[in-house]
Amino acid sequence: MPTEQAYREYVAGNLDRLRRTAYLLCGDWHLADDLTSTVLVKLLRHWKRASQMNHLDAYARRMLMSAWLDERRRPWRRESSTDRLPDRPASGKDSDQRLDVLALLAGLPPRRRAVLVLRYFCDLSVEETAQALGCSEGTVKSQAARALESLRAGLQEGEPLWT
Amino acid sequence: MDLTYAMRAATQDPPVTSIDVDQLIAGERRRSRRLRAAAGALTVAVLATGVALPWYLSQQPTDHSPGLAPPSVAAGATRSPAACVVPSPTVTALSGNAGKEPELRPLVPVTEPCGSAIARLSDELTALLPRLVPGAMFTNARDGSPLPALVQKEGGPQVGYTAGFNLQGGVMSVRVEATTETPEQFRVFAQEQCAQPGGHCRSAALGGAELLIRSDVTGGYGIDVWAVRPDGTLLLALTRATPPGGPTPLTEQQLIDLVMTPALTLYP
Repeated sequence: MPTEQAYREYVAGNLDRLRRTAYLLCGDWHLADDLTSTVLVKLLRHWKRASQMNHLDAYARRMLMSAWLDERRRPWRRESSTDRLPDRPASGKDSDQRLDVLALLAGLPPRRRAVLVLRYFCDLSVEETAQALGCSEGTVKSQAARALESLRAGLQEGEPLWT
Repeated sequence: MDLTYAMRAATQDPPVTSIDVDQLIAGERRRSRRLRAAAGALTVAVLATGVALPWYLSQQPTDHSPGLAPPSVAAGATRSPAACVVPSPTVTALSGNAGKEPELRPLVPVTEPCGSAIARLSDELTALLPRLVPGAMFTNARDGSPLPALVQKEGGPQVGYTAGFNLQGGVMSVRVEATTETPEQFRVFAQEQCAQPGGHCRSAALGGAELLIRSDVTGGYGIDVWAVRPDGTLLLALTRATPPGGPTPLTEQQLIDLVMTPALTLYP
């Protein structure tokens, strides 16, 4: 199969998942597209080698995490005040829940947010999460525990996410 | 509701993505091409330095022979045999170079062995160059030896060969590659390049080939002529003046004649 065709097929099958993961990390679809593009370009650059890997998804996920953590380190990406109001969300229970989880994730440090997304959205084990983030399993466990503790602190008993 | 469910709910109904895979791939191709052009320019700069330094030194008085080039220039005039750095130039051999660049798949597979291609291109250039620039004294940029031309295989993922020469008033080099684009695709790239203001460039069609010509002699740049030919060969011939700003040793027409020479091909 031609290399470019294989790359296109991989992107077609995984683009949506990568975008959603990126969105949960950053909370913004535009930035999620930027992060995903960064990953796809790097993947294309190393496609010949990457396509021979047994765990290509894990490789792509790890690149996404690196792209996200790198992005957060850039000074011009840090939050700043603005005179423009954000888009108003549509009302409804679903959007409330959506805002809840995004707002709670946004309050976490980047690495803890990444741990939660990998563990609870990507359904990775502690070991796989540690590999994706390039840290030890103990770090993953402690970061996950602290992240969940922070989430709980931001909720009131009885709210949907409390359980 | 658990966290997993909440996260899945939060990513429901994503907006239409702005990611275009075709654009990503095209962008990577442009990047590879720019990198190769930069590598070529760097080679020329090194060659130009190699020429300019003896010229500069020759202007300095010395104890033994004022006005002459240092003996080291003449001492280096021994020809070393052409060697194929990569044993096989075929497409399958590219797997060893993987990991740095996306695969550059030639439009037409190259089947000629590396050693044969080097010998053949060396013979062709050795016969062609004196005809192209009558009276000029070509020496190989690699070691300062006179003709025959020393051709070497290019590094990187593409299949190609290159040779560089010093001659009076400057340097020149020739690169012969297996193209990854058709002439029509290259035309689009050439027109994009020449649309930029101040580019001193033009694109042209000649004998089924698409040409990109960059020429800025007075500005000190020199002349580049790219050609993507219908046989699947991409040629780049360029020349620079030494010192910069003077007349280049080859004219634009001579470079065009060179890149249109049928014998300079990867598909004999």
